[in-house]
Amino acid sequence: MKTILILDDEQVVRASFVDFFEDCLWRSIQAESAEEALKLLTHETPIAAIVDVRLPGMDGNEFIREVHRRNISMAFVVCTGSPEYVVPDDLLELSSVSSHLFKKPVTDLADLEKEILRIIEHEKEIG
Amino acid sequence: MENETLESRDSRIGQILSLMQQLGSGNLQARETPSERGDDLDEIISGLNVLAQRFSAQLTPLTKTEQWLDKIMEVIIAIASLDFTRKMPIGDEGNVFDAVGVGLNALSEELFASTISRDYLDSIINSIGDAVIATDAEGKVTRLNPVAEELTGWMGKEAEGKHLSEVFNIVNAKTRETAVNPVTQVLESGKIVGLANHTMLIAKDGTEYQIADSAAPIRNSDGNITGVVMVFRNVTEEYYMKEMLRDSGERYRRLFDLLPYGAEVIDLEGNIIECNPHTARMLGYERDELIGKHITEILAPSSIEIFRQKLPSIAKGIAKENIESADIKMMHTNGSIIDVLRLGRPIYDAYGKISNYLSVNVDITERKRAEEERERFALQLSIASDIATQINAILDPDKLLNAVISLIKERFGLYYAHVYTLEETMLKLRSGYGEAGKKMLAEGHAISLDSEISLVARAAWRKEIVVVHDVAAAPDFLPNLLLPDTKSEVAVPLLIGERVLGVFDVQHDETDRFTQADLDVFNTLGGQIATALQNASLFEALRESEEKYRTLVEYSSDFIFLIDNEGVVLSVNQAAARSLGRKPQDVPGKNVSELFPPEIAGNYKRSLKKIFETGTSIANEVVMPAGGEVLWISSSLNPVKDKAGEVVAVLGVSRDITERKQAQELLQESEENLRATLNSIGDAVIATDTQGNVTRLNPVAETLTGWLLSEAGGKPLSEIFDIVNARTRETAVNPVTQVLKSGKIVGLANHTMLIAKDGTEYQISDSAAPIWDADGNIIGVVLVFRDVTEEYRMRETLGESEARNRAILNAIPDLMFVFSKDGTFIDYHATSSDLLYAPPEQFLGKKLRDVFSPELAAPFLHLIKQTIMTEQTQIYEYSLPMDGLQHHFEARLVFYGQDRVLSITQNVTERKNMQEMTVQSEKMLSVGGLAAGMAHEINNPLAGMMQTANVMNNRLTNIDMLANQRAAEEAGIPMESIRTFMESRGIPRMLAAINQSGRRIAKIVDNMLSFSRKSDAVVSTHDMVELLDRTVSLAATDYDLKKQYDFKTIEIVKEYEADLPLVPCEGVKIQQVFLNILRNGAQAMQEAGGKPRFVLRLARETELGMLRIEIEDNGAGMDETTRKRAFEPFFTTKPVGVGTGLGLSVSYFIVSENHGGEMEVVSEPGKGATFIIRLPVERIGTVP
Repeated sequence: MKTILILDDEQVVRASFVDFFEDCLWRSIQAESAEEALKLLTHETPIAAIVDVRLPGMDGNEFIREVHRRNISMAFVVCTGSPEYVVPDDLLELSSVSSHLFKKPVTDLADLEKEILRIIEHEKEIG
Repeated sequence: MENETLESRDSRIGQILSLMQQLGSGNLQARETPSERGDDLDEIISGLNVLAQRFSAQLTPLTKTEQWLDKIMEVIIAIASLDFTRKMPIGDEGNVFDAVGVGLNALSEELFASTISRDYLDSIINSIGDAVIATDAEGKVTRLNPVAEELTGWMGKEAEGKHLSEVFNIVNAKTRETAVNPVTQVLESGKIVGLANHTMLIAKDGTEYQIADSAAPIRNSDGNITGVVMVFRNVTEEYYMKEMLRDSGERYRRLFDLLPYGAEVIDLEGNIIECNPHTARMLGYERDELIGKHITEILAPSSIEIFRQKLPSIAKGIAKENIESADIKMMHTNGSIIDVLRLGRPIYDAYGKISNYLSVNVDITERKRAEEERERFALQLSIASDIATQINAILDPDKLLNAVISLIKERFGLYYAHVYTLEETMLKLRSGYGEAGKKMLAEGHAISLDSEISLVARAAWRKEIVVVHDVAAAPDFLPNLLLPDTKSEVAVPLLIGERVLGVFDVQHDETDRFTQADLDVFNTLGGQIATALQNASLFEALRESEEKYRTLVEYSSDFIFLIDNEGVVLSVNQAAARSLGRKPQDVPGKNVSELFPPEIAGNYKRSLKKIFETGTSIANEVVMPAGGEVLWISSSLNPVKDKAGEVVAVLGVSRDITERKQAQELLQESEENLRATLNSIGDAVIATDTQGNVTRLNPVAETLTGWLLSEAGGKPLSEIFDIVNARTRETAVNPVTQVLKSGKIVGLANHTMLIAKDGTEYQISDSAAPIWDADGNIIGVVLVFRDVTEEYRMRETLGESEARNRAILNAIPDLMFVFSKDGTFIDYHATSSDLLYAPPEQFLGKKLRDVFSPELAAPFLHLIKQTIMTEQTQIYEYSLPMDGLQHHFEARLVFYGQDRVLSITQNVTERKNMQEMTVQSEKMLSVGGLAAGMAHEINNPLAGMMQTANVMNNRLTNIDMLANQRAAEEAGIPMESIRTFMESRGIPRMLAAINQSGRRIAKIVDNMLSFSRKSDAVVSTHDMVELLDRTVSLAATDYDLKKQYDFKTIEIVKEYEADLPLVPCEGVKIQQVFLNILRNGAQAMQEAGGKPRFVLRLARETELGMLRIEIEDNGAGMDETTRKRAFEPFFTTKPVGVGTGLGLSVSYFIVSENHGGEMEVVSEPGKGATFIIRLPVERIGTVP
């Protein structure tokens, strides 16, 4: 079963993502901080993550960098409510990070799944 | 049983018939309410229906049937002959006809269904007295009964198959125009039609018949019209009789009523049974009041007897047939007598007997009066000329006036008469009639010429005749106790040309006794009397002047004497005799040598001799010893010549001039005093003689002019007194010349400068006055002047500084007003009147509250008072509409001395607007900053809400979702059922609502973010023409806009300048700005109604380096408050939910902050709004 990591400090938002992906027959694991998510990754191997940017402690950008540093291969989609946020250039260079920034509220969650599946496919092709 | 039914049926038919008759006679119309009429109609219909139903069932006894048929025919004919259109009230005819038609059709169907009676019907139709024509549905004749054959002149056989209009040729009896074919009308309308009035039938042979008729449709059982039956009757006789009767009756009535004379009809007893309005008016009655009165009641007493004598013969019917005329007098209700020429003649009845008596009364009062008037006028004219002749012979004015008064009084039959003469400003009574006149004369009765209430005075100053017809009715008439019976009065001015000599006044003891003719006579008489009076006065004056002359000589204080060539005194006056110590009568005859000492007598003789020889006068002064004293005698001896020019005597006039001589000596003394005075005073004094030569110079004058009296004496003033205009250096006008010319005191012109002999210059102030001798002749001029050089210099300096102040003031661009403490505008300063709210004449001298609205004036005045009280400067800000825009002013109120306030007023509109704009953008920036901070906080919960709703929707409605199917299976409910349930309960719709609301919040947040300065602008150059046009076409397809307005109905006017430069900007954003403005405008125009129109303008603003874009709508416009707040975030005039109130503020922000441009709106209520955007053509610096 495909596993997805939902990283968001807002419980309600997290739940909405979790519920959606479960309906799409994903297994979801969730974390409300980057630190907690990194801990989860020690024993979980999700193939994708929905990452919020503004988080208590380590922020979303740093989290992606850290995961990348640990050589864990997975797809990232950034989803934030901050209007002024732009995906930093170093992250955009990574093929595992979606160049499409999802702004909260996400009006069609199905787009989100499509984008994740696209990146995974893309990663596979690259090898 | 059967009989009973028959009877009830008969009675029903009877009922119907009577209703028909009522209808016919118009009684139905008299019923008041429609429901009553409705009842009658129902009755007719149901009656006819019942009749029809029962008809076939009870046919059996044929005789009875025949009787019914008779009655039914009667019904038909009754209906057909009705002139419904005339007798039924409008709107009801249709109902009646329809109702009757329904009933009749039912009946006729039954009737024709039972074939038995067709022949019978024929025989009835043939035997009735009215003409009957039937046609088929095409209007072709199917049958004619004998009467119809006779009237139309067509035989049944010939007529059959022909069109009705051929057989039945009808025209309007009056116009001779073809009348509308009734059959056609019936076929068209399906209704019964009555013929128009005045219809005339023209028979085949040309005979004309006046007819009355009507036509009704024949319907078959299906209700279709199968033909028309028309019934008519020859009413020619009837018609003419009626027309004639009406004509003659009306003519008589109209004649009687419109007669320009009174007319009345009396019966044989003399009672008035009829009268016309003129009679009533003539006698002051209402017409009805007169009817029934006896003729003697309206006659004057003197005429009653005439009638008493005449009445018996009228009563006996033996009055003459021809017209009798008589002059009688009638009585008006107000008691006045009316002279009437009465023309009377008897009226005969059908049997030739006199039944009444008609009189026509012509009011001849006026004529009679005019005749009398003419007679009186002729009489009075003769009296007037008589009086004129008599008085012209009298030369004593008083006697003359006395005679005039008695003559006028008596000959004109007046109550009283008197006459005044004008002496300066008083009108003095000179002669009055009888005792009253004597009394007033004794009292010295007089009237001031300017008395307004006096008739006499009025006549005098108006120079025209004044008449009071009824003194009781004249509000300002002053009754004279001596003349209690005066009822009317006339005052006549005595005029010679325009000159008023006096007034004669006549009075009558009856009102309204003076006619225009009388006044004309009086006027003429006035002229005559005036002339006579003038003649008499002149005569008297002549006599008086002679006497005066004698008196003058006699009583003169000069010695006057006449001496012949021998020196013999011929006559002396009293003074001359007295001077000689003799009586006047003792002197004549004596020789001068007897009267004077030898030395003086010798002198006289020498002088006399010379006069007799030369014929000239001699004047001399001699000293005469008289009783120890010396007398100075001045004499003038003049020749008295006869007609031939020979000197016959010498007239001497001598005067004692001793006193004068003594006075002269005194004068010489005072002259010395004067000189001393002049020499000691501080002012310079120069005197000249009448030639302008200097006669005197006082020491001050010597100093200033540099001339000594000894040098200057006899020299012309201009030489000594050299004056010039201090400014122009031109020679100033010599004041002495001026004085000599004008005889008046003359002040020197301003800035006069005296140049002294040595060239020293003095600023002087002076004046010159004439010197008069005792006889009032100018004998010289005295000039007084003073050195004012110092004074002048000071004043000049003062003037300069004042001028400097004024120059400074004029240069100040601010408006200035001076107010008094009550807020009156006293003065103002403005560099241009364009700066003023109103032209000076509209506010100078006015109070604040007369110029401004109370809301503005009251606090202004309060601050003015405050300024005066505290002497502290106050500031008042206010705004006024000027040139269609609101202008802001700041007035600094400065204490300006006692009770005055100076207001230095600046137009701060520009500054205000700048401030406003700054505040505006500050406001938006803060909103933007706030929004940026808030956005994250809002977006997160929003995501929780919307995303969850999204998931919910999937779970509740997605049949294909495995998770759903599994859960449904576990719950034992098919997923389909769940979805059906959800849909029937509207859950997806509700979720969609949550989603939609969420989206709106997200959009607001997004818009607010635009206010933060940050912009990831993509700038390129754009052609504004293209951009604007593209936006307009985008607006036309914009969904949101279409929902509210069909953009295509808006007229778009484009006023673009040619060759506009490209503008560097972020195209999408500027487009958003245009779209916002267009949306708002479209909505405003929709609300305003009217024909919507946008005017788009593009123009260059070269000095500013900007491109101006204007979007003008013709919507409702905005008031001041709305306009000011238009760009404020969240400010909206739209109902809650329609707009976010961010559109314009975002636009403003895009233009001003993102593009360094300007955006403003110009608008007034009712005048639409114009948005003006200016974008820099050259990008200054980088994009922020």
